[in-house]
Amino acid sequence: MTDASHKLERTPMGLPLSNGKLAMWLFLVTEIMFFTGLIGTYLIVRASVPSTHPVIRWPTPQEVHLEEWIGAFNTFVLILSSLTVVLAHYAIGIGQVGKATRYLGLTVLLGLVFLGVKAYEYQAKFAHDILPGRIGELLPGMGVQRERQFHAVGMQYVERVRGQLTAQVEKTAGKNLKEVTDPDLQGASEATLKCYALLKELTGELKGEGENKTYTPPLTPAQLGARVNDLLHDHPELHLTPTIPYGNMWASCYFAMTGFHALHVLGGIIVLSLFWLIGMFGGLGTHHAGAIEVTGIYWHFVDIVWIFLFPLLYLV
Amino acid sequence: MTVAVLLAICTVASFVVNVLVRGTSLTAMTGFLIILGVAVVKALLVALVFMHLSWDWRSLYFVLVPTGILAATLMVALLPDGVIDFVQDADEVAVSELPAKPGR
Repeated sequence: MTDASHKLERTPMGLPLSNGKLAMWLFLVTEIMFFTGLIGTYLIVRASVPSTHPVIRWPTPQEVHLEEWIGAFNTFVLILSSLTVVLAHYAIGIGQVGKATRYLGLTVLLGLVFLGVKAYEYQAKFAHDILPGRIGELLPGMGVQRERQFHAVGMQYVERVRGQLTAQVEKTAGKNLKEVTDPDLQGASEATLKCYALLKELTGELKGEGENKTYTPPLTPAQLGARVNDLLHDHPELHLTPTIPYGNMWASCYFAMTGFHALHVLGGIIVLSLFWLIGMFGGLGTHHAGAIEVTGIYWHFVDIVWIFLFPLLYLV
Repeated sequence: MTVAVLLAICTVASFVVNVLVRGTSLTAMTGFLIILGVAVVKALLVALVFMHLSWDWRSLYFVLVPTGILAATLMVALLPDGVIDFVQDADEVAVSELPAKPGR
């Protein structure tokens, strides 16, 4: 009986997986649900925007300053980093510690390149004011209902652009806008003169007396949006907030998805860096093979998320 | 190495399809389906080979299959939000296009 019980205890139980690997997969299924929520929301929001309307449509990558080749480059970088992690795991498995350390270092470097490119892209968004809650939403031809719906946001946009135009004019004239007269802007750039003219249009004008009285109404948010976009087309160096229908929604989705993905990349870089440092100080050995494999599985998952983010944001 | 090369080729294929859609050689829907299909193939390659799922599937299917079902359900559950979101009357005239009344 005792012998039988003893035998029972020695019977192999559980899965033919290491605890670490199973734990990582359990963690990854929660991550799958997390990114499904983000990507699913993005797809639903995007699908709800009509594709045939001439004005109301989802922003194109060009409109929001996204370069497809930069996204493709980052995809290659992550694919290459996935390969180097596999090679590091293989090398440590057969006891080639030096080689494994080099591959780990290369993976960390590629991860940093990915984040560097992402930072460059974010910088472009900040420079063009393509940020959630700041972009103009109204353009002529959208319909009364939409202009009513976005009126409050439209007026906020008008005030934001008024401030930007004022800053541009005051910078050139070197004095407060109230004191600026036409001669102050003699010799100013064409862009500044256009800003000044737009600023005047923004206010509206009452001219003449009695029967000859004429009134030019101030620009509506939609009209201002169209003027600003034209101005930015001719003078992209101006720091004016553009009008992009659904631009705020796009920016929210973009920063949420790529931001959380970048945080995951950063987490992977930190863990891989630790293994690389252990290797640099001579502490890495074949007993680390399991841990490197588990970290590699996480790194590949981050790669898979980007595989879906790249076409959804940059291509289709 | 073979998988990495295949992944790189798939990325280039997505890029080319995108160029064809821009050049109107392909419809947007066809392009979308092809690009999404290529992304799924890439994800499967990474999962099956790099993440060792083709070897470990028998030990992990009980975790991954329910997650897949729940993920699909989540997408379906979100659908009504998209359907009721957009209301647009194409016959309406934009406020900005209405003629300004003199002396208003």
